[in-house]
Amino acid sequence: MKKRKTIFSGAPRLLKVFARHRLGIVGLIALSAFIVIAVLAPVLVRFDPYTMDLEHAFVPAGSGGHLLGTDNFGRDTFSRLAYGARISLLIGIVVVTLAAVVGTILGLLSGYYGGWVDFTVMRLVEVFYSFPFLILVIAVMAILGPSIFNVMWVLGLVHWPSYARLVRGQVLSLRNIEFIQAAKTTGCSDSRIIFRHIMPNTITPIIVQATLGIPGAILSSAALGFLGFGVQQPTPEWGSMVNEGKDYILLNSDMILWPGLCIFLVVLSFNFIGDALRDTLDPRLSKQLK
Amino acid sequence: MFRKTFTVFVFVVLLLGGLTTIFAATPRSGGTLKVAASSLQSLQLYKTAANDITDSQSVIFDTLFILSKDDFKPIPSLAEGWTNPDPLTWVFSIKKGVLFHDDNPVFPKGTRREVTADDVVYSIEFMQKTSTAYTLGPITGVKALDRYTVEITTKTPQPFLVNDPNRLCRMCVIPKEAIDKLGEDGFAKYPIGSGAYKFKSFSPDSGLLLVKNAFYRLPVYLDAVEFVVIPDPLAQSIALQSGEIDVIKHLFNLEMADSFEKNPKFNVVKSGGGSYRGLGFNTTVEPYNNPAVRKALSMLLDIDTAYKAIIGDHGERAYGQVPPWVPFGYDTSLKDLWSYDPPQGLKILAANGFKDQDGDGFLDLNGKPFKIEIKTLAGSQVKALTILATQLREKGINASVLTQDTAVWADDLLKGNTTVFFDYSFAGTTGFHSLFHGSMIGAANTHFYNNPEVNKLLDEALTKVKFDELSSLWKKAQRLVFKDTVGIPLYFEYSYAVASKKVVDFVPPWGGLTLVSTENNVWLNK
Amino acid sequence: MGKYLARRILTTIPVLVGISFIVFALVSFAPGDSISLMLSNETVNVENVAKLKAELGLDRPWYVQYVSYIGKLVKGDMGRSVQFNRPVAEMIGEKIGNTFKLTIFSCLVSLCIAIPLGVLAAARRRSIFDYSATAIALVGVSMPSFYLGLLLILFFGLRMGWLPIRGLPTYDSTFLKQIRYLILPSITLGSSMAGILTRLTRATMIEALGQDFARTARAKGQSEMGVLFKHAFPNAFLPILTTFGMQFGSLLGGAVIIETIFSLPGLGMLAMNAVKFRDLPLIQGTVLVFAICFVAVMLIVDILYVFIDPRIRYD
Repeated sequence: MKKRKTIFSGAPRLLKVFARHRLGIVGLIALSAFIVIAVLAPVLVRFDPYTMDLEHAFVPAGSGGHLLGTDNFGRDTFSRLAYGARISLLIGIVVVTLAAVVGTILGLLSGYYGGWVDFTVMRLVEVFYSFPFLILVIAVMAILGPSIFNVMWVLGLVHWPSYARLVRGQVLSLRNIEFIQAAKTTGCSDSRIIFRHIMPNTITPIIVQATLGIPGAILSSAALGFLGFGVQQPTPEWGSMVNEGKDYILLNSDMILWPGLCIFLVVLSFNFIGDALRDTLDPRLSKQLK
Repeated sequence: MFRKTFTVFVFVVLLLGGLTTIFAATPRSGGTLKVAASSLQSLQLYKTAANDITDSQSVIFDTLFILSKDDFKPIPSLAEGWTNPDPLTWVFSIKKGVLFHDDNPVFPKGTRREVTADDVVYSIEFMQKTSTAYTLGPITGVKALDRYTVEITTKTPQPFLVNDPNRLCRMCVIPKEAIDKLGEDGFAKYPIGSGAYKFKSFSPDSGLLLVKNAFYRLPVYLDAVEFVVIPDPLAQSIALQSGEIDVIKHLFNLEMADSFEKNPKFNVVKSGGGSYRGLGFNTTVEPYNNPAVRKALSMLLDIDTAYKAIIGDHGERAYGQVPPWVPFGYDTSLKDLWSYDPPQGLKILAANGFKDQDGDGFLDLNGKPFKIEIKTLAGSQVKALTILATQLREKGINASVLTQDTAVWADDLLKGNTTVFFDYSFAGTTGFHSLFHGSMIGAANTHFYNNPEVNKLLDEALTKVKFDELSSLWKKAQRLVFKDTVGIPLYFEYSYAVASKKVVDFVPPWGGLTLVSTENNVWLNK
Repeated sequence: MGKYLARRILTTIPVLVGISFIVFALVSFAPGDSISLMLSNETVNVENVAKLKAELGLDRPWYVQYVSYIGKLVKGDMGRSVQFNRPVAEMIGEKIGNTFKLTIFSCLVSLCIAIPLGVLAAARRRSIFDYSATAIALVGVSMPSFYLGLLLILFFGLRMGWLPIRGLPTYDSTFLKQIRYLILPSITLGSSMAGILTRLTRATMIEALGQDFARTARAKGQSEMGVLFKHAFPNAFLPILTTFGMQFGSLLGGAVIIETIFSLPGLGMLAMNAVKFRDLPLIQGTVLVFAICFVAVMLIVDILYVFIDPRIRYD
C-alpha cells in the first residue's frame, strides 16, 4: 500500500508540471471535446447516423440543418463522425488495455522468475519484433473477417511485446532491491510480491507507454477500416468512411476530408498528451530536453 | 425566338461537324491505343475468366467467330462459316491463307505458317484438357475433315455452343509447335497466335504491349495496343481524364458515367450487355426455407428507390433473372410477382413467429434475436445493398451488409454458410440454368434449390436449338423459381466503355475485345 | 563477428518457420477457398478444376500440405499460385523490385527531412526552426498515411496536375521518369518515419551537445558547425540507426497500403491480392519474403554498428 501511495502523493506537483506543457493542455482540451461528443452523441446529433435521405445526398455543410453536410446516401456527416468517435476511441483504449495487461503479466513473470520462462517470453517478443506486423494483421483480419472485436484483439495481440519488454526491465532492476528482498525473507508469496510490491512500481512507465500507444492503435485500426477489414457496413467508422469517400473523390472530396481530419486530430491530441505526460512523469528525460 | 433558332442552328452545325468527323474521315493509320486493365497477372489461357486476360487474348489470337456488336449473334471470324448437318454435328470451314505471327522464338521472321484445320482441332483439344475457367460442354469428337474443315460432334444438342460468350467463342487458335517448344508456362510468357496484334512485351500487373500484325486479313490501323494496368476504377477514370490512357473497357464506377457523358472530350459507349444483380436465399436454412418468409422480406424492399439511387439510368429494374440481352427467356410479365407492401410483409412475418420481444426495436424470431447479414463481394452493388439493409432496419429487421473477400464469399455460398446473399451472375447466356438447376448444387446454384419441375423444364430446354422453343421453357421455369422467391431480382446493370474522342469505332467487349473485325475497326483520329 | 552473424542467421530460421506455420494454419482453418472461387464461376470446367486441385495437392490434409511445402521450400521451390497457376517465386521476383524502389526512396525522403531538421532544431533551441521541426514531426507521426496519400493525390495530382498519381511507367522509362512517379508515394510512406526520426534526431543531438566532449570541443575553439557534425552527430547516429532499422518493418507494412492507393504493382499489392483470393502458396511466399527482408535489414543494421562504433564487439 505504501509504495502505491508515492505515485499519487505528488499529484498536485505533477499537475503543475503538466500544466506547463501548453501543447499537452491543448491536446487534453481537444481530446475532451472528442470524448464529450462521443459519449453524448445520441443527444448531441440531430440526425440518426444510419438514416438515409437519398434525395439529399451531398448536401453542402450548413444547409438543411446538416452541420457538415451529407454523404452519398444523404446521411448526416456530423452524426456519423460523432458515432465514429465512439468506435475509434473505444478501439484505441481497448487495444492498449489488452496489450498492456498481456504485456505486463508476461513481463512480470519473465522478469521475476527468469530462467526458461524469461527465455520463452523473450523469444516470443523477438518473433513479434522481427516481423512487419501490419502485414500479419492484414492477413489475419482478412482471414477472420471484418468486425470490431476482431480488430481489437488482433491489434492488442501484436502490441503487447513493447509492454512486456518495458515491465521486464523494471522488474529486473527492482528484483534485488531491499524491500523486495525483505518481503521475500518475511515469507511473502510470489504473487503477493509481484502484485503488491513490484507491479505498483511499474505503473508509471506503463501509463506513459499506453498513452503513447493509443494513437498508434487508432491509426492501425483506421488503416484496417480503410482497407475494408474494419467494421461492417453501415456502421460509421472513420477509416471505412474515408474508404467510402474515395469513390467520390472527383465529385465531392468532403467525404474523405472530414473523417480523415478527425483521425488526424484525435491522434495528434493523444501525441500532445503523451509527450507532456512523459516529460511530467519522467523528469530525468524532460530536464534534458528542456 | 431568335435565341431558339440560333440554338437550333448551332446544334445542327455541331451535329454535322460531329458526323463528318466520324463518318467522312477516312481511317488514319498509326498510333498506340492505350487501354486500361484492372489486373493482368498472367497471359495463361483459360485459367481465369477475368475480363482483362480474355480481352488481351482475343486481340492476339483468332477465334472461329465473334459475337456481333448489335445482337450478340455469332459472326464468322477465322471461320468462313458453319453448318449443322444434324443437331449433334457442327462443321466449320476456316479461311485459307491465315498466317501465325512470325518473328518470334518459334517462327523466325519470314516463316509463313498457315493456320489449318489441324490447328483448330489441336486448339479445341488443348482447351478441353487445360481449361478450368471455361467448358465447351459434352463434346464427343473433334476431327479435321480436310485441310480447311473441322467437324465437332456433341453428345446432346448444344444450343449454347456458339451463342454463349463463354464457350467456343473463347477458343483461341494456337500453333502446336509453340506449346511443344515453349511449354505451357513459356507460351504464357510469349503467346503466339494469328490475331490482329502480335505480342511484344509483358510485365505482369503492369503492362502488355502488342504490335500490329501486318499480314492480318483485314487492314490494321493502329501500330500498337498497350494494356496499362490500373487496379483502382477511380484511378482509371483519372488516368483517362489526364490522357494517360485512351480507353476504359469496363467502367466500374457508374457514378462517373454521367460526368464523362457531359465532357465533350469523351465518348461513353454503352455495351449491349451487362450484369444481373439480385438477392439470393439459402433455401435450406431456417427461416428462409419457408417461402412465406422469403416473400414477406421481398415486400419490405423498395427496390426501385434503391437501385435508382446507385445507378440512375444506367440499368433497369429486374423482375426475373434472365436479362434483356439474352436472346431467350427475358420476361417482363414477371412484374406481377413483386410488390412493395411493407404492412402486408410485416403481417406475414408476424404470422410466422416474428415479434419484438426484447424491446430493442428489432423483430425477434420465436423469442431469439433475428439478424440478417447479407453476404456480398466488393463492388457497386454494396451501395445498393446498404440502402436495402437500411430499409430493412427501418422496418424493424436488424440487417447489415458483410463485404467479403471474393474467395470467402464464393466459399460461403458454395458450402451453404449463408442466409441472404448477393446473387451475382455476369448474366452470360446460361446464368439462369446455372443459378437454379438442381444439378448445379455444389457449383453456381448456391440457393440449394432443387425443384424437380424446374429441373425438368431446364433439361428440356437444353435439347432445343431454336430460340423460341427454348424461350418459352425458360420463361415457365423462371416464373416457378420466382413465385417461390428463391431470390429477389434487383436490377440489370448496363455496362459501359469510355473512350477519348480521338478513338474511333471502339466497341465494348462482349465475349472478348474486338479491335479489328468485320464489325468494327478501331483507329485513332488526330 | 562471423560467428555472431552465423548465430543470428541460424536463430532467424526457427522464427521464419514459426511464421510460415502460423500463416499456413490460419489460412487453412480460415473461411474461404480459392478452389470454391473457381467453382462459383458459372462457366467452370468442374473436371479440370478437380484435376488441378489434385495436381496442386490441395486435396490432402493441411499438415501434410505444410510438410510437403517446407520440404519443397528447402529446395528453393515456393510452389505455384493456385489462382494463376504460375510459380510463386517468379511472381515475387517480378514485384519485389518495385517495393524496394518505393521503400528505399521513402527512407531517403524521410532521412533527408529528418536529419537536417532534427540537427537544426537541436542547434537552435527554441527558435522558429525548433518549433517548426516539432510541429512537422508531430504532424508526420499523427497523419494516417492513407489520408495523406489521398490528400496528395487530390491536390498535386488532380487540382494542380503536377505529378503522376499512380503506378510506375512500364516502357521506355528513364530513371528520372521513374522518380517522378515515386515522389508522391514516397512522401506518403516516408512521412511517419520522418516524424519519428526528426524527434529522435533532435533529442539525441540535444543530449550529445550537452555532454562533456562537446563542451571540450567548444572550449578548444572548434566552430559550432564542427561541434555539431564532427562530435555530436556521430554520437547521435547510433540511436537513429537503431530506430531506422526498427521502423523499416512498419515501412514495409505501410507499403501494402501505399501500393494499394497508388496502384503500384509491388509485393504488398501481390500479398493483398493473394489474401483476397486465399491463394495459400502466394500468401505464404509474400509473407515469408516480407519477413526475410525485415530480418535482413535488422542484420545489416547490426553489422553497420560495428563499422560505426568500433567499441561494439559481437563475440
